[in-house]
Amino acid sequence: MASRDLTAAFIERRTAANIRRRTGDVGNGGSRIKPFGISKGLDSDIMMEEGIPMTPNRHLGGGALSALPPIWVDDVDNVNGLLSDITRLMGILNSMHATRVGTVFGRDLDDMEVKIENMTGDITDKFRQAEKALMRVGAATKRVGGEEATIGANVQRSLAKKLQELSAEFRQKQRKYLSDVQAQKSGALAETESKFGIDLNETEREYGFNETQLAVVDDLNAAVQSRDKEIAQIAKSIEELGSIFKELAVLVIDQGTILDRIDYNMEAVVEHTKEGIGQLEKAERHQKNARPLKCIICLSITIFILLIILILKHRRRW
Amino acid sequence: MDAIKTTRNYIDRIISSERTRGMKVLLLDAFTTQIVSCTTSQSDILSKEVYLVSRLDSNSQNPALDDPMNRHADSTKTGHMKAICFLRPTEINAGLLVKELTRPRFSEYHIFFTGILTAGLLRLIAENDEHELVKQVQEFYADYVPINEDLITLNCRNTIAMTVSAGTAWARDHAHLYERNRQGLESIILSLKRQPTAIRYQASSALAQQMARDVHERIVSDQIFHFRNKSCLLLVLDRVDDPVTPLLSQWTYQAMVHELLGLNTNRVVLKGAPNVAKELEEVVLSPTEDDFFRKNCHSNFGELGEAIQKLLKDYQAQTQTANASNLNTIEDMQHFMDKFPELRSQSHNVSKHVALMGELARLVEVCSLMDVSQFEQELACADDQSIHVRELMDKLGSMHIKVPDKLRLGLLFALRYEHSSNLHKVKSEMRKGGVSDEMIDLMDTILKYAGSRSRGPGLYGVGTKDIMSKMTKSFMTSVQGVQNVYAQHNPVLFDTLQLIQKGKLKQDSHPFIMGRGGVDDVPSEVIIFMAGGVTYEEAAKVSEFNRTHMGRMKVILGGSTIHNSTSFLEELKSLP
Repeated sequence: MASRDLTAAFIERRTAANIRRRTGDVGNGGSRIKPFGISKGLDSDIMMEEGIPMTPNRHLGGGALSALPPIWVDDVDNVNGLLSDITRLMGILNSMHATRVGTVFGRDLDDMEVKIENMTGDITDKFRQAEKALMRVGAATKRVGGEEATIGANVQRSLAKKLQELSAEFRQKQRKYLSDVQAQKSGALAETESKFGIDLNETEREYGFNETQLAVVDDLNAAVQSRDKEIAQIAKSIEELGSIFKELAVLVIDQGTILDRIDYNMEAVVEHTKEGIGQLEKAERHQKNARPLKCIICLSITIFILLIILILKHRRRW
Repeated sequence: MDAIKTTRNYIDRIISSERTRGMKVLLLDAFTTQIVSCTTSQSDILSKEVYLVSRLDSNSQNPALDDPMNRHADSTKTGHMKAICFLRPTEINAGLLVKELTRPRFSEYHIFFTGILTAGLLRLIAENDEHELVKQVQEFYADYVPINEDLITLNCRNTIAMTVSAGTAWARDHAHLYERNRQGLESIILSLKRQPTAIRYQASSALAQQMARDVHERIVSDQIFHFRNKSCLLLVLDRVDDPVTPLLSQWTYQAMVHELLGLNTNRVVLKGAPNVAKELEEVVLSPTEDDFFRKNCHSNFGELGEAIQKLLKDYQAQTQTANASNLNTIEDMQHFMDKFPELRSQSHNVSKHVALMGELARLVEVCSLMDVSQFEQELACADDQSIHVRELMDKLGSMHIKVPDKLRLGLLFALRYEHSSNLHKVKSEMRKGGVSDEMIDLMDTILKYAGSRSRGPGLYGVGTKDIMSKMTKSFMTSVQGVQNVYAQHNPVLFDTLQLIQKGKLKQDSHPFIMGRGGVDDVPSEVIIFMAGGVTYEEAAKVSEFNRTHMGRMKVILGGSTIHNSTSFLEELKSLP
């Protein structure tokens, strides 16, 4: 694992060369003779460099074109931001889950549940947004084609993998919370039942309730309903995530297969390019072939028509 | 001393360093592509935000080389990305870098060389970096392809011609190959952080001597080679001492796949084999990503069959518990979904090994390799000309044995009984058996290349074992019988290793360039480099040696390439 850093030596030589280049320019009164035979064809750049502290990006693309990244890069940043947001929110949600499961009574119970619900909704939304942005990246890069399409596909793959991992984790947490809440509620239910000596199943058979008993039944019914609602909501969010998961799965590469080899992918690119070139050539040939054919058909039709006219003309004379 | 981990570390450091955070492009040359592909995977580098891997030296992947007018379009497309160049320190690469820097396509360049960069090349690049785009220049010594943790290859072909020409007037024709091999060897030492306390070479090879001497000079003159470590022996060998091993049929998994199907930087092409599914036409056999392969790459064919059966059973048991038909509750379904991706990758792995095994078994059957291999082993291990001649004639006339196998048998016979009067008879019989004249000429070539006059002692126990030990050995085998008739042969390298371990490797067969040896001076680490190529059989033996001497001695084997009989014979054919 030995390594050697040559950066210092490199920069030293580079600065020396650049200084020589600039002073050489000044010394010659701005004439554009260069001190080295090796560097070529960038005279305009050297003129621009004089006296100006250099920033690395300024001269990209021959100085004339600024290297503003394509729009899809913003989408990538967006997804990255969303990813870190999701991780953060999931942390918060996790602690909320913990406190919720820890509390059995209290007025803020409902409040807490509403909060958890909102948070879950937020996170699911974020997942959906991220997925959409990802699709946009794919579409945008595919349109441009070539190298950028490869980059786009790779970006999609890597982000999809991250998203997938996150969503799997999220789903697992949701499920755990769900089962926790369920266990707690059923536990609490059993407790109330035993405390008041009521079996819920018997309520239909027995009539003559006293008022306290009725009140308990009402309470329990309300609890059952709210619980159902809650569970339905969580289940829905899990379902939604599931669909995102499925869509992402198409993008993620299976590890250990030939598709996961770097050289194979590079060869595939070359192959595709070759194929593309072949098809272009074919198309060109087709096009070339079609034109003379059209001419021939046109001309033969004309000849045919003229021939008929000629025949008609001769016939009339007779 | 783990070759794979070392290179992996280098690559990780390159792509996940703090200074290259953000979207980036990896620019490679032909050889570094192999290094990177063997050590890491597409999904790994994608997770490190490397979104494009491209070759600096090929037209189709580097538009700047192709069409200088097109550069404006390119720079707008990728100008926001950083480029990491991982290249061999060659003049061609430096030229390409200069070209790239005068017409930059990326916003920053981080350059990593796999070997020691000469001052001239560094200056050339520095003076042409007018836009100051290069942010760092480093030497990361990963100039080889790690195959197993103790097996390294440089993947360069035609090194046998190089070893033969060493010390003659033709050496200049192979100067660049020699450079390549020397640099590879240097980078092995550097990456493992070992400063050899002793350097030895094979006396029968002029090339081994030259290489050992040159490496020694470099070590002395450059302080980057200086480390503090335990006693470490660098042994430079040459294929010429053991021409037999590459000619034998192999029966361990990795070696067998290479011999029968071809294992090229961990990739196997199964295309054309009958009954192979579309997605298995090309598969990867890498010990880093495939646990089953790592455990079984040196097990023999029989053990392998059992292991695959067990793998299949385990997989079946797993699918049974997670069978889609007995999903009764929502929880079951969710559980199944969670395990699904894992199951799928496992199923791919199982079907891959089953397909490989099936194809190997089919080839063994079709070529009647069992018979051939048994006779090969006898030719390699026992000395009994009259019986061997009779059996060889029998095999050469047989209809069931394929022509290349007949050729191998003939060559093995020629190497064993070099001065036999039967060689003419064997040649004419080979001709009758369908071997082409060109191939039969190989018999003379191989005797010229590695006949008893040119090779050193060691093969067939000549010189290293005295008559007494040979007699006892033949007596023991005749009394006890052999354990496995297909694995009697031990490569010369294995004997050499055992001599080193006992401190008995002789000075006149393997002289010292540096350091001294004695019985009490056994090195704790040995780096072996074999110019002209190694074989997987030797790799299996080295790994077995490492296992039995764990904690006492550790060996790493490197070679110019990894041979199977086909590649070995091809290189022989190109000899003058």
